[in-house]
Amino acid sequence: MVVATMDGPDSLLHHDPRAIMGMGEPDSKTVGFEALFLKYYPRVVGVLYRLVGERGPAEELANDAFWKLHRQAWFAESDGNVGGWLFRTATNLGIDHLRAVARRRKHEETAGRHLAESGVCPDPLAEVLRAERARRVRAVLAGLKPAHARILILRASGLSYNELADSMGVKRGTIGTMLVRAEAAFQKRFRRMYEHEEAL
Amino acid sequence: MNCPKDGILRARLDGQLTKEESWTIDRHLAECTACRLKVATLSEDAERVRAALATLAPGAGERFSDPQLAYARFQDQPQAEPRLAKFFSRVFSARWRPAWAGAALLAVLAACFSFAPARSWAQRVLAMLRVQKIAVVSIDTQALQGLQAGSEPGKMIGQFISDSIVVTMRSEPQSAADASQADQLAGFPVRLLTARSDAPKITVQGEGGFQMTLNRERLQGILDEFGRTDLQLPSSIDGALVAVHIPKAVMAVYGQCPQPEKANSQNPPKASDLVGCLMLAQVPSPTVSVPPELNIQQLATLALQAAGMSEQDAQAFCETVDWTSTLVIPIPRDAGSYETTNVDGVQGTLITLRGWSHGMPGYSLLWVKGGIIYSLTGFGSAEQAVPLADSLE
Repeated sequence: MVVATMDGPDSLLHHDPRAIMGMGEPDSKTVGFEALFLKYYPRVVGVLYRLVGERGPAEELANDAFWKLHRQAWFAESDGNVGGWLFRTATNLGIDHLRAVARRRKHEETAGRHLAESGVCPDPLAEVLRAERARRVRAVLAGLKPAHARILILRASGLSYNELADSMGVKRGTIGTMLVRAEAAFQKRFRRMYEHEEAL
Repeated sequence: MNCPKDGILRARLDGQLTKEESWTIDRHLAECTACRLKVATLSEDAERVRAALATLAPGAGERFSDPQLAYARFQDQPQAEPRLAKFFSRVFSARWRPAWAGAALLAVLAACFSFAPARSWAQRVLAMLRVQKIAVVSIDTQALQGLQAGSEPGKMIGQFISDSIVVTMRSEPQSAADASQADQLAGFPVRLLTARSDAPKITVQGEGGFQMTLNRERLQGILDEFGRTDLQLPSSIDGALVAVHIPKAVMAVYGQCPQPEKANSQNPPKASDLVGCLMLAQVPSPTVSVPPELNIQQLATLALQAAGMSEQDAQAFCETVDWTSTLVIPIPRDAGSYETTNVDGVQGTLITLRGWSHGMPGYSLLWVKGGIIYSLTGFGSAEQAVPLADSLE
């Protein structure tokens, strides 16, 4: 089954495949992409690292986020909200990745062991404890509503309320309320998952 | 002043209020013990969460790639992906996004309400759906006003589509000089209108395919945003795969037709130029692969209700449709009317549009014959549609 929809008569039925099959004038949207990449890459990677906990996947996901930006027709013609879009896309990718990892419970469980075995940490025990704590925090984030996980991780990554509003697609005045709710949800879930093992 | 909301107090803690706002809040706090206690609680909560999240920060020894190097790697990637992506960036461009957003919502509703929760997705064999006939249903689009591209639900759906779809197949469009060449390129017998003496511009559109992976949390968020918090999606849909394959399509354009990509140009075509415009499309049925337990009727009933139809009307309509083989086309109630008609030896649907494009009335005639979906679209009186279509050879 294919379902067409109701966008008013102009788009009715999508009868003209040229419109949806990519014919027509090529886009002139590459201008400025490099500048955007260089400007946002370090912060996007930083956000993703917090979510996935490893440099390689964080950089791959950042790369994916920029590919998605590259495909957008609007970014070069608009002075719009590129940063907000990028952070939102990156956190969505990161959260999806985090959930996939949480399901497999594979690399996170061994992350601390790798660190301990590698012997590169000045205090291996402290590092193992920190890694275990980080694993738990990520597991909690993976189980939150995406909007809650997104605002927490972006705030922890240093985004201002204005930037958060852009990324969340809401008014600045609602950010405080969203943070309060997200923090409450985080604490509740953390306690439910780990109350017998670790205090928040 | 009244006691401020928690969100305002939280913003004050973060130093994210203006000076005047901060001054007002501080004055209130000086007088209100309850709010001071509230601020203390919020502060403790915020600090606990901040400390927990601080464990995720990169360590001092962690070094990320230099942005210039990362950009060089970005540029060195194979170019196939952006080319494929361009196709979908157009499909999901702002102009088309509301329609796709609606389609996605329907698909998502269908998928979400149709599965037993305990089954494993991995063990399911996908079922193929093919279009064998077409049905039209009038809907009231007022209920979907919230789905415009700039709206929050529209943005969320657009973002979901952008993040969830993987293009699996895409080939480039090719021009064909005549019907026989189009036959060879498309792989099915191409028919043209003998009632028109002018030669059409024929294009064979490339094959396309994409997959969408469902993400329960995000879909629920979209439904919530759409105001349907009463609909709770089962967690078992997480990770479900919907695959779509679009065979090669042939488009024959007669006369001067408007070009959608130039729809917003400053020099729109004159109405008089559009009278001779005819667009004939023919495409073997696209296939949509979904888990076989999909209860499409149940979902479609919900989707039509979301689109503004009453529950009774939606149920009545859905019971008349075989959802595994019917392409359902909703049209806005105030945009036009439709009727069934005999065309090309089968039953078709003629849609009359009062003000289709550039202020001109128009029509669309749709039918399915021999596994091929045909559509004939033009401007002016709908009475000419069937005779034109019957001249196909």
